[in-house]
Amino acid sequence: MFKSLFAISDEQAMWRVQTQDDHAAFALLVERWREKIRQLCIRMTGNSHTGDDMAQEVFARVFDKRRDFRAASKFSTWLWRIAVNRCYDEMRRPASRATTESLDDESSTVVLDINVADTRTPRDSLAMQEEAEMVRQALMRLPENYRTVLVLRHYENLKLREIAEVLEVPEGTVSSRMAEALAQLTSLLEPKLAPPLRTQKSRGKELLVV
Amino acid sequence: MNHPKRAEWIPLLFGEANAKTRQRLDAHLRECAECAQEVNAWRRTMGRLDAWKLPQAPKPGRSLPWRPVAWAAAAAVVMGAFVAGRFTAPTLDVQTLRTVLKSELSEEIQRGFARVSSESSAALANLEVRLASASIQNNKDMAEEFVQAINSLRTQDHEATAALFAKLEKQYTTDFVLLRRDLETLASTTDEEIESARLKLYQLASNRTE
Repeated sequence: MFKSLFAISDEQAMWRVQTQDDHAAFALLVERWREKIRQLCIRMTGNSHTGDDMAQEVFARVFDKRRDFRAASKFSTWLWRIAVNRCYDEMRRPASRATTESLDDESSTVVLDINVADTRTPRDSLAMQEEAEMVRQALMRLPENYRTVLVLRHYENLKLREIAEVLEVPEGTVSSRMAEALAQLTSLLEPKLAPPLRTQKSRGKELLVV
Repeated sequence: MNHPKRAEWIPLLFGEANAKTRQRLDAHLRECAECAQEVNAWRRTMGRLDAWKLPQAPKPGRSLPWRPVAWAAAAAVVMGAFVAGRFTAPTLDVQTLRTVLKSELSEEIQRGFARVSSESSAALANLEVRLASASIQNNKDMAEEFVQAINSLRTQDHEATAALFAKLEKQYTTDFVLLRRDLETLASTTDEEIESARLKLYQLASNRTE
């Protein structure tokens, strides 16, 4: 029974979930998409502690709404839409999350610390961590519409057309939001680390020295 | 100079522009320092986005970090059942298989015998009738001889059939058991077993955490 599951498409799996409440098919979808959704949630909220919980909530929503999924549409588009909406909810209630987060921290700290230690390479300097933090903060200062298109395109690697489908807007709207996002982000980032007129090469050298 | 709109740069920057658009925009960049500066600044910004790395979640399937305790408990339960299943199931399977096969085959043989003997009895009866009617000219001894010959033929036939069936049964059972055993070995070494265990694990753990 499980063997046959490994070859099926997301849409087929979703159909099974929809028509038969097939838990194995649902588990398969979760397995395939959990990490991507977790990363989206972290990029959108800027909070790495809530990613797992949010991803879990996204899949809970997917299961709740399983009857709404239309067989003709692409599963991933539908899933990204639910996930993005979940992120919007999250950003609109920062206070409630702050309290639950401090409670969750106790149990998850150990795991997170291990992860950080595992991925850290000798090349990871303090400067690079500072750069990462600067990027994160700049992204958080973008209006959420702009942040969404940037995160979906740059980090999640969706095509502009797919983003348009997820957000249910014209592709041109995605492009103009993206242009605005890049313009704002550039003005947030450039004055701090690199003067606009320097070339990329020299800036790179400077970063390594620092 | 007629500058492209900001949004027009976006497909170019993300490698989604078609050849024609790309040529047009590249040509403009070569001529227009103003646009080139802006687009280069956006490119730098995009490059810097990669600085924000997320700790990679451990490779899914080996260790899943959601709720470590629940996972450990679920893992213990599932692995226990899994291991127990692995060591008891195959022998049991072969036994039951053998019994089922045996009863099926012997039933078939019985049916075969019944058919063969009823057919040959009918033929014999027919012959006897004809012989009886023809016995005006033929003597009775010859007829009896004939009947005996036919009877012995029938017994031989029965024996041959029985031997054939027995041979077939043996062959069939061994083949089946061998195949079954091969399959078991193969299954135990393929990842799919692990995958299915993982799926079960996931289901169990998500049930627990809900």
